Amino acid sequence: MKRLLMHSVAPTLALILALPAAAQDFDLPPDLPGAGDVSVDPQPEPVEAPGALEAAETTPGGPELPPEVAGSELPPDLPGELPPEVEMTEALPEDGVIPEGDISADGEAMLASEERRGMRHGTLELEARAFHNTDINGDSENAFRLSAHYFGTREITDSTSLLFNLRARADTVSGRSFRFEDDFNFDVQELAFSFALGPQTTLQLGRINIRNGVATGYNPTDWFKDDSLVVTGSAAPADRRNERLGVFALTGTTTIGQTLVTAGYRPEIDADLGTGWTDADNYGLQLHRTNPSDAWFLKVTPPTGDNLSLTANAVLIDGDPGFGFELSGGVGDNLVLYTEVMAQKRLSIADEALGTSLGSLGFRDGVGAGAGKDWHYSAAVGMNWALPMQLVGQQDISVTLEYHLNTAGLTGSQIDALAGATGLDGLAAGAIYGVASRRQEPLAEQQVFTRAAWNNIWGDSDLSLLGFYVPHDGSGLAQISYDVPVGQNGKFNLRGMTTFGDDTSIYGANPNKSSIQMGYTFTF
Amino acid sequence: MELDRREFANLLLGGATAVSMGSLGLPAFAANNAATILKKTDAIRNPQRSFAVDVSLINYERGKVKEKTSVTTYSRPTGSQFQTLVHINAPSADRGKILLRNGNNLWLYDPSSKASVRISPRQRLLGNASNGDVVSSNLVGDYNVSLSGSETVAGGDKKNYSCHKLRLTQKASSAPYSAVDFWVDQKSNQPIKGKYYTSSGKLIKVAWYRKLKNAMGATRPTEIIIADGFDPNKVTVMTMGNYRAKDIPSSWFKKEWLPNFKG
Repeated sequence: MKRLLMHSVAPTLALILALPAAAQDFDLPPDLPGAGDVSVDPQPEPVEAPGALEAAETTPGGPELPPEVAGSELPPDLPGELPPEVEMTEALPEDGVIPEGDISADGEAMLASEERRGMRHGTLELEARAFHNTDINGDSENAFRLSAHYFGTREITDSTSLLFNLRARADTVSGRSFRFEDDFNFDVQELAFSFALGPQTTLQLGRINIRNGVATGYNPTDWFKDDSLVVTGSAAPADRRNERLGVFALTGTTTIGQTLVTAGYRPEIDADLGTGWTDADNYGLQLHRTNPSDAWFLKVTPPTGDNLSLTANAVLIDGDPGFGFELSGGVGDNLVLYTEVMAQKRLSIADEALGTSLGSLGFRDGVGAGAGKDWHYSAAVGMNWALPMQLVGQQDISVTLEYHLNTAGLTGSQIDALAGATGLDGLAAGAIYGVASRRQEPLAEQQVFTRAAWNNIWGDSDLSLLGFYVPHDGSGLAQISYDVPVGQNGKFNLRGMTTFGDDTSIYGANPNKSSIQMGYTFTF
Repeated sequence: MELDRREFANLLLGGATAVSMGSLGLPAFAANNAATILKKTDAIRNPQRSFAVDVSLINYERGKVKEKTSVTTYSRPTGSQFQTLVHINAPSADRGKILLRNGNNLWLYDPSSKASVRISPRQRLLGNASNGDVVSSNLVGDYNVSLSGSETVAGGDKKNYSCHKLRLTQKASSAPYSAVDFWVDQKSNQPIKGKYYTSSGKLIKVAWYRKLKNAMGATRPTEIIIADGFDPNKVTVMTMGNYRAKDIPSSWFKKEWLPNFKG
């Protein structure tokens, strides 16, 4: 019966539907109507594949096989493979639609089009996003943001180019009228000249987003993330990296032997508040945030073979040294292990927040304030595991798991002291939360981060889930995000996030309890 | 055709000899010969020097175009393998992103955030084409190869070719597939077809090569049709054009260089 189906019914269906062979059993490639085949001499004399005439006579657009081989000998029935007639039927797309036009011409035309247009210099993203936010007291508000983000590189001469990353945004909040001076902002996230001094040496001068690190949830070696966010719509580290201000700096990158070396200097910029250099309405460059002190830095990437990747770094911020490294390696084709470590002379978060006077003596002792500058260590150790094909087939599902250590944060007993703050110590506790948030580093000495991503979960849509969790007090933050492409250039996004834990816990004390968001992004 | 005629003849003879001698119980000889065939095919698939090539990828689902991607690939030979940078030119949402491959070192760089994220070869960026498909690679560097016979198979142009059938098994952990059946035209060493498998023997994808053109001193296929082994309604067509020689320094293939990259 099966054989009968294979040799009669299936080919008949193929003819009726006038559809060509496709990939089900993969003896023949999917049919690409109208595709002319280009050969150059001398070429091997090809033998025409049998079974093609039927398709040639019935397929609009015409398959490529000549009639003289029609009905001639079948190709060998290889073990586990079906004769071509069956392949032609079983391989058909269910809706019977075949690619329109000349698939090859499409590809070639696309290449030619790109060549004519040259490499585009900039990308413009327009986004509209609606928010429904609920605070820790249960009060809700609706908000809406329109933003335009333009970034890229423009060549000025063969050796000089301009790097730009600009954002304009307008926000409105329910129950409050729109005030242009407060609610519209133009952010120069990056604006720098790049000079190529040779094929392996460059200099960059201007506002640059200098970003380090290999971890996903927290980057101890990312020196300049402090107070850098321009908006806070997402807890996802990947989104936050897009939403930060660069530092004004001079950097140089070159190769010494096989080692890549980057060195640079970030000057302190001390300008009056209310000016264009700092926080003037609408267009303030916020340089007081990104360049509060001078800093020297050095990064060294030696050759480490074709699996390990190592970058060591040193930084001197306002006279305080720091040393760190990041190391990653792959295991097989689906697992990446990594670690990122930084040792830095600095104040603890509590010390920085409380200064010399904020909070009662008992509270200060409880949260470990008063130790002054000391060496603190921070680390992220993690893995990214792409689920193997044996489990998920062609699905692209990955899981990230990280452990974060920050000795400048609070130990278990210090977290308890923070949670027990009352009266004026409540204000001191708020300052501690604020410094951790501003610095974008874990307030708890130990926390866990996880992220799961399922690309193409339904059609081309992507789902991601992420969470931060503090084991000591059981608090955390969770976020779910769902992206649906709309055409080639549009994307619809649904996002929800919430904190959990007691109102006095590390994450539960966050003034923003939850947020539900809906956004649409169009990219030019 | 630029392929050296003497090499061509030697290869034909060698291929035929390998098949017959393999059946006489001389597998080592056959393996050596298989490696020679694969090496010649690799030299056709990719120029064996530093080069750049523009690649378009069109993803079809149920016969309809789902996505178009355009990239420029920069490759530099190192040992028996390539270091590769893939610069995405289109679509606009991904413009400027760079995929870096240096052995098992894979990074995805985002110009918007200046972030480089380390990814595994398993993770996919461009439709049915895996990272391993898009980056230049010599199969002989990643796989052990044996000659498993001769077969006539249909190529990407639907014409039948008499082929060496090579069996490739994963040698390097960076190799994207556990095993590959690879058909090479006996007369020209042109790649004709490949079937790619997981370690459990599941068929992941099938690729057909076609559209031979002269580029950088050899006749090369400039189009690859990739069918999804799990869902035959998903097809990706890779078209290569504008092959050009380009000196590329090794420093480009470190992730810390990526913010400085200029194509």
